[in-house]
Amino acid sequence: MKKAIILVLMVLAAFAFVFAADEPPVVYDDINFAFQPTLARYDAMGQSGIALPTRLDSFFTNPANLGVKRGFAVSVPSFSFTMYNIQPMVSDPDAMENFNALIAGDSDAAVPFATKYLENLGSGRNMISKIDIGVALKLGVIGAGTNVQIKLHTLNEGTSVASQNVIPEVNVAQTVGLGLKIIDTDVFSFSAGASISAVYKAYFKGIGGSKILDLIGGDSDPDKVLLWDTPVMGGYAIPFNLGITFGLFEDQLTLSATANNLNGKFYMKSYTGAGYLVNSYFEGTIEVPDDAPVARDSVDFEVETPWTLNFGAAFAPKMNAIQPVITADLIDMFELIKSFNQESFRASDLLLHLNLGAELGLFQIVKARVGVNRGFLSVGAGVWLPFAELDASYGWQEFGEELGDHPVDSFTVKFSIGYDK
Amino acid sequence: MKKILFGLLVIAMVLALTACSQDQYEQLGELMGNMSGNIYGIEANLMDVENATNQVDGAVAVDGEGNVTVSLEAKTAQSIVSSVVSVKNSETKIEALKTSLSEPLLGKGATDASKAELKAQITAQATVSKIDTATVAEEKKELAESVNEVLDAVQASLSDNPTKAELATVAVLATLSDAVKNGNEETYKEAGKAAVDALKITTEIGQVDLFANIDLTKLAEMFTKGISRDIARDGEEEQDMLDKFMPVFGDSIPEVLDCLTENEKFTAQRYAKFVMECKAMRASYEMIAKGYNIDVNAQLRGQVAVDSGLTIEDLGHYMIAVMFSAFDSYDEDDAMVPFLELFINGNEELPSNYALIKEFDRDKLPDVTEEGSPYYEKAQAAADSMGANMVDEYNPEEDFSEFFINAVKDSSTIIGKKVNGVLQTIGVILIDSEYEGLLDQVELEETDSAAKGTLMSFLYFL
Repeated sequence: MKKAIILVLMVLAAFAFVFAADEPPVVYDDINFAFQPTLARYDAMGQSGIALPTRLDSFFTNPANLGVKRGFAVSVPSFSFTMYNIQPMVSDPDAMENFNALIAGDSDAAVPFATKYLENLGSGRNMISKIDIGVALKLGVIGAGTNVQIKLHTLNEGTSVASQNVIPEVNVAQTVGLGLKIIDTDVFSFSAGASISAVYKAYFKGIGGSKILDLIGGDSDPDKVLLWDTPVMGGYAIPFNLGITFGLFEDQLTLSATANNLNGKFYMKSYTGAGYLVNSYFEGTIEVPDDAPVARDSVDFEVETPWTLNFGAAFAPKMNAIQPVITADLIDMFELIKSFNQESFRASDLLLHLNLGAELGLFQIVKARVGVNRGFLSVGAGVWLPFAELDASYGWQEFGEELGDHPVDSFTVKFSIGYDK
Repeated sequence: MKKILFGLLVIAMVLALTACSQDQYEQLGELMGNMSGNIYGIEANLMDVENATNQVDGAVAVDGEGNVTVSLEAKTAQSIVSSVVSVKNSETKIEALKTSLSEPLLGKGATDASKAELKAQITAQATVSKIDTATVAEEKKELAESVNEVLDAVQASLSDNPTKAELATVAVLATLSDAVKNGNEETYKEAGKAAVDALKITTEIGQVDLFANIDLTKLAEMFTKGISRDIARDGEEEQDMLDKFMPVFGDSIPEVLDCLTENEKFTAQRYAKFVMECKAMRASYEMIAKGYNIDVNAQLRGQVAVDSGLTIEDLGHYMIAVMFSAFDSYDEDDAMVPFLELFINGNEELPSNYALIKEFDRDKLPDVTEEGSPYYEKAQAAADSMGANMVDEYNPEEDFSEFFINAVKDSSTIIGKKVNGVLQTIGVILIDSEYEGLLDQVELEETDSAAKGTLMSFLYFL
């Protein structure tokens, strides 16, 4: 009898082995999954300003800035929202008609509006929106920040809405930085800094355009789709940034070099659904419904995110009534140097690695900004309110493989409560 | 979740936009659009485009006396295909390459004799690429026959002054031929996909996007909301099916018309070119499917991983390719061309229907099935030509759907092989594009096979 039971158990175990299935990992090579919090001022100034130490969030791009400008600043919390692909919608009378109907409370306009939006995304990679909620603190030469970020990427390997996929991504990151002013004279200063982040990332397998429209139209249960029906990839990385800054004329002119996103490899696992991912860390947190797909075995895999070598310069003379700032960054220099040996290299490619920015402040209360990001214009403004700041930016960037393939616009609003002067 | 997302969206849009009139929105859109250009004035790097064009030009040599030679050995053909495919991820480069390849191979000063010789040389290269079906392995015969069928269609398809795109297309066919002769199931996937990607740039069928203006919600409704599985072809049900089908594809179908006409006139050469391109596209997709070499039932049970980068748009290309290549295969009396010529161009007594077809309003298009219709005679001749050649495979007395279902079950017959080959290719495309759920929508009886499910869905799709 005992032998029979053992035999049955062995057979069952064999069958279990045969039927146990892995959840295949999903990797999107076209999407850069490196983490960076939303920096509205930086975006308005053509994504330049690594040498500019004058804001709390500047240590996220160059930790040496903590040494250049020591002091106290806090942001509890900051909230930013970025929307992409606005211009195609604004230019489309049908889309704006649906938009006006939506604002007026007509929920039937939601699906046509969303359909038009998905159509305008085109082929290749794109983004819908980004939400960033964070707290940050600067105390002397130490900076720390916690961010929760949600991004909605899209990827279309075809040409129509029918093959559009929406890929939600969530990041939770804790960053700590230290900057020291090693040399400090009236004429010249030298600072160096480092910051390290612990980032947990989760992204969904692409959700098809028709399913998205079903969700918006109320024909699908969002909890079921997002928690159980869509595979999720989750994992962590410990990237760090290094920076050095040379200051001249009492740091009114600063020159910087940074290496960003070093050690940016994410160690990921695949999960059958977000509910299973949560339950794997906090057992029993979410009740598994009866009709949920059976959880498959997680598979370990890695996602590489690129590091970048950047140089920057900033000129910010100390003036009373008006505060002008000029910035210039050479970004991704390592890729630029590699491209020198390629047959397709052109001298004009140097300009495509040059970001420029300018800001004009009035009594440190109101600021107007403009920038050029790899040849694309950006504009923005900022207002300092008592214990709060509001920044906004609008600009374009290239999402395609080649210049002119797929320029995409975005609008960002960032609101921070705190003190940052 | 939905409400939160929409709330955020509304907040952002409201913050971004004050309550504006339509004119103000347009002005704002224009202002925003003015910022979208590159202020440095740098243009896209088109070195890859130049390289691809040079590869095509390099296959043609003209000596001092005006004698033309075309050389498309395997290595040359492969270089051409690789260089064309290298631009596929950049819309700017694709458009630039299409413009470049639309130029004639011979310069402006070329004589008619040179052009005729070029045409003959290209045809000869196509003939050389043909596969000897007597010597290929049994499992390769089907692919070999479909590739040979395309190569046979090259001569009639060439224009009087062949363009670089036409030569590039023949190079693609040469690589398909090489893949059959020297390749195996693993290399079929790669060769077939490269051929599809290249043909999307070099041919006109590659530019017909059946799904470009698709109404996604109507497509989803068509397959998910309680559609009757009865596909009987009598009046009311057929009307319902077509009424559901037409709004889904909207303006896409008249795009095919531009492939058949030049300056709004149908020509036999344009039709022959389009048919050749359809056959080439079909052979390429079926080569990819052969690379997976599994039966339809296994595909639908999820036992096959398909990862060739195919999308739902590829299903549209394949459907058009199958339709027109099938029409041509059965039309041995060549009766389709006179019918299309009359219907599209008209004659001294009948007006051109080009504008009506472009508009694609079923109510306004003339009826070709009624005996009193001026188009009836030629339409009937085309139907008879195809019917006469189908009769060996299809008995007109038999119910159409039952006929196909039996063909699915018995793949040893000629029609059985064809139907199963098409179904397998459709299955591969649907699984790769993650639309295999469409195959689940049809109500099946317990004894129905998954293959029958694919067939039923395909018939709904048509």
